[in-house]
Amino acid sequence: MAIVLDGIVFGLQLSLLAVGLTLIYGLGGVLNLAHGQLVVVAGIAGAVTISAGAAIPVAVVLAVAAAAALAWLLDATLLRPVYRLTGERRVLLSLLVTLGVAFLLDGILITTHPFTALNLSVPGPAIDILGVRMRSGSVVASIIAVTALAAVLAFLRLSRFGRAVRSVIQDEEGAALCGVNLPLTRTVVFVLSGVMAGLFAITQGLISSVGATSGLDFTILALIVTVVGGLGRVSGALVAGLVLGIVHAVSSFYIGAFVTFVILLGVAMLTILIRPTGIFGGGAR
Amino acid sequence: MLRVEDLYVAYGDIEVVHGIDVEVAPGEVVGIIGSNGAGKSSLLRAVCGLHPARSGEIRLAGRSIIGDPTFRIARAGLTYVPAERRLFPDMTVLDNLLMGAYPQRPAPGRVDEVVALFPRLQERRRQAAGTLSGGEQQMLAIGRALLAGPEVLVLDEPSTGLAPALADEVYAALRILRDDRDLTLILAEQQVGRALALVDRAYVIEQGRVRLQGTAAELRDDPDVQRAYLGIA
Repeated sequence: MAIVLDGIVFGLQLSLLAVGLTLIYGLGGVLNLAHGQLVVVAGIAGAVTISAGAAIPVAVVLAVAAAAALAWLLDATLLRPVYRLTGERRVLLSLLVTLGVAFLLDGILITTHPFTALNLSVPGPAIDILGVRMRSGSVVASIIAVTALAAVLAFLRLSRFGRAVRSVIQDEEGAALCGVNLPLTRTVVFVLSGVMAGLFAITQGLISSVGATSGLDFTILALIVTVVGGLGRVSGALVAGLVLGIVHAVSSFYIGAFVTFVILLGVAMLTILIRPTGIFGGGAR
Repeated sequence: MLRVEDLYVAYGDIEVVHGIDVEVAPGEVVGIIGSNGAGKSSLLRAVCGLHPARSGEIRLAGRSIIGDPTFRIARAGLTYVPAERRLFPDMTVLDNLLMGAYPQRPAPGRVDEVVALFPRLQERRRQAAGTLSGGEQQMLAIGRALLAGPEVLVLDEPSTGLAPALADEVYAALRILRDDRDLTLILAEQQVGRALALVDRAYVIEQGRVRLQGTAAELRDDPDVQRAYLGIA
């Protein structure tokens, strides 16, 4: 039971991490391979702010803002030429551009902040949940993740702009014909994905830590969740995050952390082979 | 209302529209007729900004819209219903209709008015658009466009891929729209007989040029039109 609960805690973080990636992909066919670096930028920004003596809430806000600002910058500059292409060429160019950004950011962060890491410890005793003692940091992280995910879902389901975002995911041309401003929609969603990455950095800081070298791991995790959930499917990313979180916890406990990544990738590969559109995949997106 | 002057459209090096002029007065119902591949869709896609024009001018209510992005042209009052319909398959019929009114909320009762025009949609309001039949999808596409409250409604091949009975149903709704004199209607159609029975006036497009134009009655009596499009020897 404790392992499953651990898995759920981690799974919620995974969903939080993957939702941004899957939304951007669904919206514009851009697979952002620098998604993990958004997390790292938030983590380092938070850590630097704390070590400068700022209060934790200030650091949290600044960390999330840093990721959001970087996402906005990416969208406003390097991704503009990407959106001029269509179909496979857009996906390909987005892979190259964002991979370049990932390497660049990794290089900068690892050289300038090699030993900086975000560690947020929540004071207070462990909390009893379903007979399992949970660290308060895990509980706070889960609350943040659930709140953020619920907010994103509510935004997509209930607001007019959210409906417009869903319409772009389903048919870009149809959405434009309905009067949806595609570039603006993409920018807003990209910034939103930056916010989600920033929040993930916070929750990750509560549970373990975020350092300069973590970017690639986060990107791969997000990619696995996104593939299993179905590219562009938000609800798929939510469920896939939880499932993979539990798989992660169980296999880390019984088999070992080293093999766990391979197992998660295996799940993603199996998903592609058996259900190419994700666990919820129907026919078309 | 809409004025297209000397419009050229190309895909890469291949020019498909070679200097077309079209003028549509407010409240008029105008056909753009011609066979498959004549350049009708290319003309219309350029008008609504989905494909850039190579040169020429397009004016909507006197204001140049050439080079404007599609969403801005749509918000300026020109709504295009492509032959592929471009619905949102995973969204409900109602959500598709509501998207038509985007970025506004539709006026109260407007959804019901549109659905009244296509009663088939009423029963399927909560159903995903992707599960509708071809005819219902066409009705939904037109309904969604009407929710935008357009001044100019541009329909591209609304009868394509539909069984004759369903095409009749779509055209019955178009006849109701024709009598709404606040709405300017432009209809591209390769089923020329159907189109000429509906429109006031039409342009016959062949190989990217306007070959003929005239009132529906004139075109119906034209021997060339009869031979080439109406199957009358």
